[in-house]
Amino acid sequence: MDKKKLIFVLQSVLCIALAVALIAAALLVYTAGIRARAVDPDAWIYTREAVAARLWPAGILFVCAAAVAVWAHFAGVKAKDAPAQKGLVGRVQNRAAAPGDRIVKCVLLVLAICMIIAGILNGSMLDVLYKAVKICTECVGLG
Amino acid sequence: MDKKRKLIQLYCALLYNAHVRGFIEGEIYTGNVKAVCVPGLNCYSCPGAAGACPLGSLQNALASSGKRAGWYVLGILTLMGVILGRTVCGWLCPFGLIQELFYKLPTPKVGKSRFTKALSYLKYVILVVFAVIIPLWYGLTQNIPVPGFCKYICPAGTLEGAVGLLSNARNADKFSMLGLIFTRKFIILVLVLLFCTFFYRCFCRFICPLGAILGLFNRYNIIGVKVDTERCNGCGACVRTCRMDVTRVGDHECINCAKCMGVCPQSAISFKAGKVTMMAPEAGCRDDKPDSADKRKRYGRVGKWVALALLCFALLWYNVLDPSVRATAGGDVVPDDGSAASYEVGSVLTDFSVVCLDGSTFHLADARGKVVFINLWATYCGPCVKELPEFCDLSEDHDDDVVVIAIHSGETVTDVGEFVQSQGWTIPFAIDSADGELFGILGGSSMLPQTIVLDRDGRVIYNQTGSVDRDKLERLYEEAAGASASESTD
Repeated sequence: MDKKKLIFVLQSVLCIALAVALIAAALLVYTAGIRARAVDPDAWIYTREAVAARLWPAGILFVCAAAVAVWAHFAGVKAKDAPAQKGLVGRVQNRAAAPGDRIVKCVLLVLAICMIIAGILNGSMLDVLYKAVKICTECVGLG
Repeated sequence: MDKKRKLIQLYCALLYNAHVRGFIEGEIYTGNVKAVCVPGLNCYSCPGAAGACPLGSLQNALASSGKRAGWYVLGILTLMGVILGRTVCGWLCPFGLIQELFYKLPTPKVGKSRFTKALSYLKYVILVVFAVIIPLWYGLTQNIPVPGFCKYICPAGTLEGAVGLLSNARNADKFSMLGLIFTRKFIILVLVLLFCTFFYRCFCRFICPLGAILGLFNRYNIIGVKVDTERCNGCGACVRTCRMDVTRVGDHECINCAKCMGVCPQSAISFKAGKVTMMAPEAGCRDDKPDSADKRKRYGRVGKWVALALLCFALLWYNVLDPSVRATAGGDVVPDDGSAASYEVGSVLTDFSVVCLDGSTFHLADARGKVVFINLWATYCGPCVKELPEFCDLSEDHDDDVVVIAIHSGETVTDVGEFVQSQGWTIPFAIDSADGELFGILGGSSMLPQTIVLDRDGRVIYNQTGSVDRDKLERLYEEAAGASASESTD
């Protein structure tokens, strides 16, 4: 197996293993937390200690994946795009700007500015601000 | 070309997250400038975020459309679309940069095919279902704001917001909130990043609703890749080289990365802003004047200095000069009596009084001898609205022994009184002052909802952000009542 192939295989395996390790860690912490909560309803599902205890395999895999990436860099091995599926791309009809496009652009620009002004006046700009400075924990995925 | 694009992407990631002290302090930026939506997917719950995410704002605007039309966000998205289109995705989006960095890992790559082309339409389904229907449905039928995409899918939010906040040791207490939602979103994040190592920008191509919206404007965008159709011979080199699922340059999938510019044998592709050529192939454009190449270089140099100055100013503003940053640096809000604010568990909560929406005045001192529940909430916070009926039930069940008050964030444009009346809630409600004095006394953070429970002696026994259910409230009541009883026995 040549060096390039070896690096590609190794990196792919490490990336997949890292993803599996991270997902497994999350699921294990979650299921353990649910079991703990069944006993004590006030128990936290995730704790820093539980996360740290489950994350070490992912940590090792991450270091290995980073090491392989560094090795590939110094060995001059680069990822290359795969070619598009055969027959997918034939002759291409690139489009020139239609005469009406300019009018549509101008209308959209004016419309956008009008909507922004209307938004400032009707308070929807402040809605954006308030939502951005007082974040809802569930909305950002914390829970 | 690609190096220049990466530098601009990195620059934007820095500019959008210029609140660097947020990463150190574990707190988000709360200044007024955050009303500006940044062009790109950059979660506003990221500790460094200097602006609002247009997609999150759109969902919240749709969720609140029963109260107020979200013209501002619609206007911003239209403006972004007409000026930039999907140039945002290719040049400005921080999550696009993250995906491209993962794609750089040396692994075999999966090329585009009919399958990926078909899959590229998935983002329109996600846009309609998660970013439009879910927020509208919950907002209009139940009055609960639920930004479906942010809540259930957005990997950018998980990485920048949730992981960004949780990785700071000062936010250790935020782990109490984590559960199924976080687990699900974390798994989605990991899968997206894994697929990004094999598929070019798999999130942009198949999932991102913001890309779907901006793609609709790609035909009209002012800044982007343009084709000189008189030079183009239709050879297809541009589409073959492109990693996105395009059928021609500048269609709804094109992110205007300009990679095709270098491979066009006819030199028919250039990057333009209106009629001004910003980047041209080596052979130049057909409409070039003799000094056009020199002019482009000169303007490019000026642009670099302007960009650098802007970044320096942003770093200075978001970390030192902004009034909200200076207020945070000043420490906690000091109550009127000059005593230090105490809201930590175990300490006696600083006394305060507030005028309620029904005109009565709530004095914390008057509630001594009873268990006190204080809920910090806002009408635009879904879980807050969902959990308030539980507080009403608690108040009714323990009428003689419990005092409940819900304090709305001072930052609101909604008629809170009308909203409360429409919900039929029975507990006293108050609104914090615009400068957040009460939130300061109660240790309110930039996250909602938050619940504070005091025992009969006014001692804080619970002060945490995150939703609570009826069982939890009952347990807290028993704990508070028990704590007071054991104190008196001692």
